[in-house]
Amino acid sequence: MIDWRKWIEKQEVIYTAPLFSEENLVVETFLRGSREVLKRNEEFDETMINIVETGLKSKDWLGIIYIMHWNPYNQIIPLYWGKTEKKGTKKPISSNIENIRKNNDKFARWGYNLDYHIGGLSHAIFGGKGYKKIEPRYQDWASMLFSELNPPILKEKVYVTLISWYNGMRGPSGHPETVPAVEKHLIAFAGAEYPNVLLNKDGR
Amino acid sequence: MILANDEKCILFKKWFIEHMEDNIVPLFISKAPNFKLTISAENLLKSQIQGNYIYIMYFKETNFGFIPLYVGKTTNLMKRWKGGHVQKLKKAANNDLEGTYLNWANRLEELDEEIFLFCLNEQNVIFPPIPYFPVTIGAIEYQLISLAADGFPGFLLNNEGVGR
Repeated sequence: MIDWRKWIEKQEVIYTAPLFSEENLVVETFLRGSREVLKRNEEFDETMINIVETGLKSKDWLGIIYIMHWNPYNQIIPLYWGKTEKKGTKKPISSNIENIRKNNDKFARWGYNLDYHIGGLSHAIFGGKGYKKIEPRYQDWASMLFSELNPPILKEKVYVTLISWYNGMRGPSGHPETVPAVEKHLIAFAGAEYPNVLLNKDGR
Repeated sequence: MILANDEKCILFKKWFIEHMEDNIVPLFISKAPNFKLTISAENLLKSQIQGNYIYIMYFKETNFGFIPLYVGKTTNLMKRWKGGHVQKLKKAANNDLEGTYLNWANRLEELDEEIFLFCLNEQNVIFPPIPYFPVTIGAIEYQLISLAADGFPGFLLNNEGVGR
């Protein structure tokens, strides 16, 4: 089997940041309207903004592949692979990333809105009224990441590694790949190695 | 015209040809608006045993040999095809459904060639489409989708796993 960790190490435009604003694993929260939400780490926000704004300046930029992970002993333990593409399903620039500096709702899929990772996860942890039901997948995220929910205490510090993807870059297959192809290929490797930890359902 | 990635085309073909057994049938007697399945397709769908299946809808073509149209996986072939794909194709052909299946109906209607269905049980997987990749059925599904999308550009009907 291909060593996907070695492949990650070889990537050119890659950044890692802690996901949550926290102290001793207790995650900071704030009120967004009437909903309590987990707060993203400022370093994560700055990293994301930098990658998206730099990417959008290039016609060859295709988007971001990301991995949420634990990092004990400097080794990635994969929790969730995802992606955000530059192009939307209808628009040339996806609403997930446009005006990224002010796009707190969506924020390249890590937004505070209920349909996005941090909003959905917060909904699973704190409940509260929402325009939709709590998504089962975010209940899975909550029990995987947190040892206690009130206050929210992480089992381990959580990181996100962001790989900025440009046209012609080669995936673990050794071939030039699209953003969603690389995402699915990496899910397969992570799922084979960590079947009980990886939170992705599709692609394994 | 988008240029095909030859290496991906070759990998797809190699895997596909090596996994062909008595698991290929002509799919439709008639296309829109009824999308009636052939008896051999019905029999293949009925013959399924326990476990996950990967399936490929494709047509034969002179230059490439064949061209994949859709790659999917399921635990229930009959339910997925008769209850799922075929029902939705009929609705799309009757203007009751837009989006994905309207694309399917239109693509199938454009093709004069006969459409075929390939089904493979996970137990019969010999090797992964991309060398040194995992061989679980969900992994194989997306290897085939990525190879088909770039190896035979412009034909694949899958959305998930394909670049925008």
